[in-house]
Amino acid sequence: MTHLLAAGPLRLRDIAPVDFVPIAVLLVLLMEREVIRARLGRARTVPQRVIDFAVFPLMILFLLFVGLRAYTMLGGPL
Amino acid sequence: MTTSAVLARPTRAARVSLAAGTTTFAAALAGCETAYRLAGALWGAVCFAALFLALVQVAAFAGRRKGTRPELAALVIAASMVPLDRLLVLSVPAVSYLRLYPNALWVVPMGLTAVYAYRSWWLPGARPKLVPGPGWAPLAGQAAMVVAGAELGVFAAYILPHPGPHVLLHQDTAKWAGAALFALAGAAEELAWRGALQRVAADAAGPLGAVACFAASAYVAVAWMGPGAAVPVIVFSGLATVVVYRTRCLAGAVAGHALLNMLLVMLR
Repeated sequence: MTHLLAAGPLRLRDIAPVDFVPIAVLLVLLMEREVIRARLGRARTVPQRVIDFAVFPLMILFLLFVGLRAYTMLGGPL
Repeated sequence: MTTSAVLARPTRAARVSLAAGTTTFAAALAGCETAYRLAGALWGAVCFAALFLALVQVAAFAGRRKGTRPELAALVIAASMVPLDRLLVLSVPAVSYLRLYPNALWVVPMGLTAVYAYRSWWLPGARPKLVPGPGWAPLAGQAAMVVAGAELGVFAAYILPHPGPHVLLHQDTAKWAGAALFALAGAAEELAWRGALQRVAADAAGPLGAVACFAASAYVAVAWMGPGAAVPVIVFSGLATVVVYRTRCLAGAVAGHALLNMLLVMLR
């Protein structure tokens, strides 16, 4: 396991710290979304719409980030 | 027929609280921008992320609390697109393939968010149309916006110094991807600021809301492009604010801003 991590399969050390900022915000919002959903149910209320609105761009950015990482790991030039 | 929130609740206290909220928001943005200039992109992104999270919390709280004006949550969450835009610009991964503008990928999440906000029926205010109404007069107004965007694009390309070889000399196709995303950024910003934020702000505060929205878009342009390049964009934003507010149509503003950005990046 140590050997595997030392090899850096995900190249996490190549990622700039600023890349983690929106991911951290996304995690906070996703947790909050679950808390609100557990409290208010599945019916879409204003707080749920607000959280969904905030989650949407960060989720797209996260998917872009993961897609680019996967593409470069597979050997695609960027 | 929908009634404007300004007409329904023209209380002085509401106007004062809106002014105080706008001032606080502007001060917070200035603080984040200062942190970015002094401490670098990481701390700038952290500050913009904290401001974005705080606005989301305020909007969720306002939506949950009984007795609060229902349009307040919508106004706050629409305003949160300003720090979100800065957060995306600072934290998006750079792709060297997009030679003209390696950081252009922020346009993708921001553009989709603008579409999401524009189409959100729960945001108050009359949604501006994307297509002008029948007749020559509305069409002429939108065409004038496109012409203004083209002229300002040529002007911007003329006044901005460019140290490297001319963009059109590059023989690769990658330059078109960066240029297309740069043009798309203009369209996305018009959709976000004029299509979503201005509609909510004007519903809450009338013409002053539209002015505040213009100030927000001008700030984003200066922070993103620098003061020199932002001047033509700010002029266009001022025109777009008035035209969209009066005609309730976005076509000219979206097409004009995209054309401005395209000419700016291709002609210099």
